Amino acid sequence: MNCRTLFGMALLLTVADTCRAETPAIVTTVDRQLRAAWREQGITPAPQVDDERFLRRVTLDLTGRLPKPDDVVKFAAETSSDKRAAAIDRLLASPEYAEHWATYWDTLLMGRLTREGFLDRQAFKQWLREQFAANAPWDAIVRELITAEGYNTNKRPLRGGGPDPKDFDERFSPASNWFLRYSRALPDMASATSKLFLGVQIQCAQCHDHKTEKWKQDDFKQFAACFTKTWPTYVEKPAMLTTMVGVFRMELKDRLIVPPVDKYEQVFGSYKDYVDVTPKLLDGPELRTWGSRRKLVADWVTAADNPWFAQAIVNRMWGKLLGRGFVDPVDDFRPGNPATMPAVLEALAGDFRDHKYDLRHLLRTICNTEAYGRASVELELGAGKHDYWAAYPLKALDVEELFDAVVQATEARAGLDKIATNQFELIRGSFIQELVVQMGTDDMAEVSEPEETIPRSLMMLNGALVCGTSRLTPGFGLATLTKNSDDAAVIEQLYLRTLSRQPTSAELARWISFIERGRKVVRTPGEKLDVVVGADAKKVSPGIANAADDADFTELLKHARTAADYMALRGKMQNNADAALYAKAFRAYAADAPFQFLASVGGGSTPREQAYEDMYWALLNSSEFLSNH
Amino acid sequence: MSYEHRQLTCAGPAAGIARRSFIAGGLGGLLSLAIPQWQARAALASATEGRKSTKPKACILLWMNGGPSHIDTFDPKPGTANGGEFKAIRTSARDVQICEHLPQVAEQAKHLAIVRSMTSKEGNHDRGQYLMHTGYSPSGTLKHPSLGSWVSSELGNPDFDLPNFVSIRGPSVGSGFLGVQHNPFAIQNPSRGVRNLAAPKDVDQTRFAARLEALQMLQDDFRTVSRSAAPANHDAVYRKATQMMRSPLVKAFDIATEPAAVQKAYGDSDFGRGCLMARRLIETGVQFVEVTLDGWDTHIDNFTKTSLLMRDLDPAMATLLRELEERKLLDETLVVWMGEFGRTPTISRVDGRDHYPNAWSTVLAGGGVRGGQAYGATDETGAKVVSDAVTVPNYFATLATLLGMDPAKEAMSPVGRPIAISDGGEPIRRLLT
Repeated sequence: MNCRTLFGMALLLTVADTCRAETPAIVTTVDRQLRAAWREQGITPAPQVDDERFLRRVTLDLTGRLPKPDDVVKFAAETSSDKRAAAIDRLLASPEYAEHWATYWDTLLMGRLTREGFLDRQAFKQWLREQFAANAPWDAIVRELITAEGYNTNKRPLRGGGPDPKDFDERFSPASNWFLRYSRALPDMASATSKLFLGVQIQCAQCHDHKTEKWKQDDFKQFAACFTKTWPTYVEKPAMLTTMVGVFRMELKDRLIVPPVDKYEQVFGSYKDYVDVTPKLLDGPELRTWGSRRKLVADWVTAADNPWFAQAIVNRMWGKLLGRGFVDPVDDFRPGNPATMPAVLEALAGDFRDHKYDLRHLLRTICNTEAYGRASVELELGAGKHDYWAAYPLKALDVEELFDAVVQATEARAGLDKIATNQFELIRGSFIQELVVQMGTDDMAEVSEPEETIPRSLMMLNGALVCGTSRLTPGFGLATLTKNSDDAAVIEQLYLRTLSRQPTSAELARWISFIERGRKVVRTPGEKLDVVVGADAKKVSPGIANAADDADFTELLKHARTAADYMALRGKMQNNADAALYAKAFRAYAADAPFQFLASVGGGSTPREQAYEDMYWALLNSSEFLSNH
Repeated sequence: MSYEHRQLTCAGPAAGIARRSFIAGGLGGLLSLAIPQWQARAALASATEGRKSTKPKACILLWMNGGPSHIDTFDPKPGTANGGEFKAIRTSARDVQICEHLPQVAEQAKHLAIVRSMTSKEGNHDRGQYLMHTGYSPSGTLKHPSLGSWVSSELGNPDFDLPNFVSIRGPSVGSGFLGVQHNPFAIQNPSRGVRNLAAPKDVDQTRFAARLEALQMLQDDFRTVSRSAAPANHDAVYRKATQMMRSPLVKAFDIATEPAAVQKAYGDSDFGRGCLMARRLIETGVQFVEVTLDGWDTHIDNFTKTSLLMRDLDPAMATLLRELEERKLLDETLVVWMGEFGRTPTISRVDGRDHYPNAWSTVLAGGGVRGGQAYGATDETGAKVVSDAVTVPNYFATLATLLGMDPAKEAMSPVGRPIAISDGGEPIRRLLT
């Protein structure tokens, strides 16, 4: 890509094909320092990872997806010396890249389960998607988050009315949803700003002074006070609220005054402790200004001489990709918790600043380092000894990655789309929610370390998603594959789909004997995907089809059984209360129905077919599949 | 119902996978699932003696998610400007009145200690929920354990077939630094019991064993390549999961086996069914069960919504208390009713009440609570605590004491700071017997 600017237009056509992926210069510096550290510490680094495993790793890291089987084969066969760097560039430019990082930041900024009437989560996620697709500089993204003003949503009212509709778009500011999330929890806003963008934890100082830590209760209060003159109001009048759909339209604005906390203490709960405090930046001057100080906060956070801003994101990304940040945990920068190899961290941060906070450049740098290309093996070090990134870590897939990986590996997307017409995101959402809830984690945990728990194991062992999509049924991946009578070819393909590599000859031999050995067929009446969906989902229940125009919506909802019912009910909502009831009922339906269908789908009927189902199932349940390594 | 009946329901035919196939497997790792002695003992003890002989106390937390209005439930202010439209009714406790929409609970009031003088500082849902589950305000790096996790860790039997902390219709708050084994085990729909507990229809015992065998091959391959402990940890959790699949005790999750009259008494609601499941789980030996009733965040149309919620709450809570007493389980089972905060005395223009942590109510029963009393009081508007204010640390110290745990008992957190069950609180003597 960069080559285009180096060569003239005349050369473009010939250059385009031979254009070499460029490795950032900083990579050499990082490699040299890490190698020195390994020598010094007496660490024998892990060997280079092979091509197949490298491609799986980098594809998961940069896009949250598995590589396509064909791409794995092609990549392994490619002979050019810079093919890894080229693959990195390809992945950074893919649409999945934007989707993946939008999901990551949406989870971090908004939480997995946060749902409030005044948050437009879709709009916020879409905004993030656009930022990453356009490779917006990190400082610009952060500035917009901290300073956003305007309407949280551009949804239209159900029955017209309210402010001028052209305002809906003109004053639409999707990023404002982040501030709104904290509009009843001001101290959390201050903590999140500091923790996410600076890697500095100040929230402990909210409640008490700690003798050995830098930040005192006053620092916390004064920093939180920087946000007191920004507060939301409803755009539509209370009487109008009933005509809105789904989301309350809020206008977030910097104002000259603090909110009327005495009058609306409940709405602005925790503002009270902070309104009489002089606002002050962490380690910075007091802000004696009229009106909002958020722009000043943003200036200070993103300033080139802010000691934490660049380091925090560099450290977070290094930690996410390589398992552990220079500062660990990634968001806990403080004197008592110094960085390992601070010079490398500073070099990377300086380079990131010099490249105008270019996130793709940062990720390209990390992925091109030697450390990133090491095999994932447990090194034999002394207990508690740091490995200085001499091996790639073994990382459990995140819940979102897990769902996507199962669907991708079983080639189930088309089938799932059939089950719930165009509601794939809902299936995904409900699976993820179940996984999160079943992991017992709460929303406060933000992006929690994926932990293996019994409910999660049961979901993988017996759950409809894994057991259903691994069945041999038209619409899912096994159906066309087993038509091939060459077992070696089928086994290879299953390995490529799930583990993104070819089986070794020993593995192949074992699986062939597993497939070929005699077994009893379990006969269960199952249904074909098309039948299941065709018969039920498209029928509107009589209670809804025959309802009077003015029928009570709550009553109507009770009749909803099928996807068609829910489609029909969309036209019958009268007001916001109906919309809320609908959303709740539909979420429950969507969380359940597809899995019910999946559980009832029929499968293979010969010993060979069922053996392949078992093999597929085992692959999906294996540690190798369930982790990035 | 007698203990004999419980034996039948708890020790009925093994659910899911028969033990034989596992013992016969003997293929190492995942498949070497011969039943250890302790498990057989646990199953036996629980089935024959029930909780009767076991010492540690149990707890059922009725979690009112969203923050219930104290004025419209357990601290009525009839006839005042902001008292709302509900009347107060007399109860079986002298001089204690509660909302008219809780008539069955009123009959059980002799067991209740209504705490009318709660006061806290967290008026945000996330923060309030964290505070009232853990006893601490959220503080970033450090994840405090919820009360259920403390109970699981301090009082639960680690070898028990079932999880020691079950959360029905959660989410609850997790185990923090006490470790995943003390996380709440989530049941989303009590009518359906434990999700994914049985293998699908087309996977019988033989086939399930074949699947585990195939999985074992993959795990062995990966262990060799990665030289890491991760595959072994994965296997350990899978072993525990398959162990649960074949435990006879999982019958406790199946409320459909209860007589129709019992099911009806709890009310036709998921909360009612959750309370029934909670009773069965406690009988079987589960240490802590949380049942959530969501929807108390009544910013708009408070009175309609609150009365509907109480329609579910009343029969469920009252029947739970009655059944626990009938089964001689009430003395050893602490029942707690609470949400994250109360709601404003003032009624807004849209007939709503908003978040209010300043003064609010919770209810305790059983487990050695001194019943039949209202503890503490708010002023005539319900806005201020005027006597016997109960802080969150003192409240948690009281709960811990009732459950037989030392409130000052500490566990070491990963940041190197010991954390106690209660944040320096003292138990409130007048709530104890």
